[in-house]
Amino acid sequence: MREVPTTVKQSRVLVALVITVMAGTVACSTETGGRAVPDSTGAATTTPEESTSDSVEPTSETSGDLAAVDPCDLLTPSMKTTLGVTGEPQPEKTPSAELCQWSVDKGSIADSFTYGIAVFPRAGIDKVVAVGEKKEITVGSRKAIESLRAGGAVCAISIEVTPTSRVDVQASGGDGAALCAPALEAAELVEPELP
Amino acid sequence: MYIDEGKAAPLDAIGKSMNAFAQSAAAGQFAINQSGGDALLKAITKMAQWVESKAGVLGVLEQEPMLGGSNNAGIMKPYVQKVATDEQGFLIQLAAFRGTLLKAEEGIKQAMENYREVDDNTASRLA
Repeated sequence: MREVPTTVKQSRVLVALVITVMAGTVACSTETGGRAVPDSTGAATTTPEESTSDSVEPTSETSGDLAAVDPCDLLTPSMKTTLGVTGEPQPEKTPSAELCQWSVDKGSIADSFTYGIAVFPRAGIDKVVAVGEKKEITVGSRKAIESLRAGGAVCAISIEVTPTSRVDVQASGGDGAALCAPALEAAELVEPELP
Repeated sequence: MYIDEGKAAPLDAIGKSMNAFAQSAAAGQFAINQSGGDALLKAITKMAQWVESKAGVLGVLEQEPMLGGSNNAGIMKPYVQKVATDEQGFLIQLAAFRGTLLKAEEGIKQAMENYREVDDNTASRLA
């Protein structure tokens, strides 16, 4: 019987050993390929699902919040054309409301008057103070009050926004009673713009 | 037209003067040319718009002032409202002043018409 040389015997052992180590490495490996990136921010991988609000509507924390509403913005250019508004907006601030007014020039003082929109964030239509009768009406789908103010020189349509807030659309001139029709016309245009 | 008492007495004089102005224009006693009349009408219109805007602000001030819920606030609120809406005082004067401006406008427009008539008559005579 021919004797196997020692060096060949050693080589076979070495190869078997290498094969065994390699098989164990492949079988036990849990590493995945790729480059490790630290997850330092929680939102790094989230997609922007929430869109920022770019709406021109007034922001409000609660529905019907008038605190951020500018009355000068409630009359749009198309409304001004419809109503015959000729003057620039005149803002005013009082303790209970923000007011904006626009003049309507009809060619003579007798026919001209001034529109106004007053935002009352903390007074509902139950708090309306008037000269004479307070007439309950509806503007759009909202409750409203038609009344005269300022000694009868102003007709105001108070539109309910919430039980404790409202917007008054008014017309002031010579005869307040005669100005209730244009005041109502303006109120019907403004109402859809309210929160 | 105005309440002729106390501090309102001078305003009564303005009202009477404006009535006289409108009457004399209607009687053809004076005339105003186009450019002069337009300037006067523009000034009167501006004044009337001022009156209307102040009436609008007063209508808002009439509403319940936000003085809080204390006892003192409750006592003060009706007085604040009454001052803003004193029908024997400022509001009446404001309305009367607007009426005066209306009279002034009528007088000026009539005076402008008077001027045009005189101008046309003169032109037809010279032709």
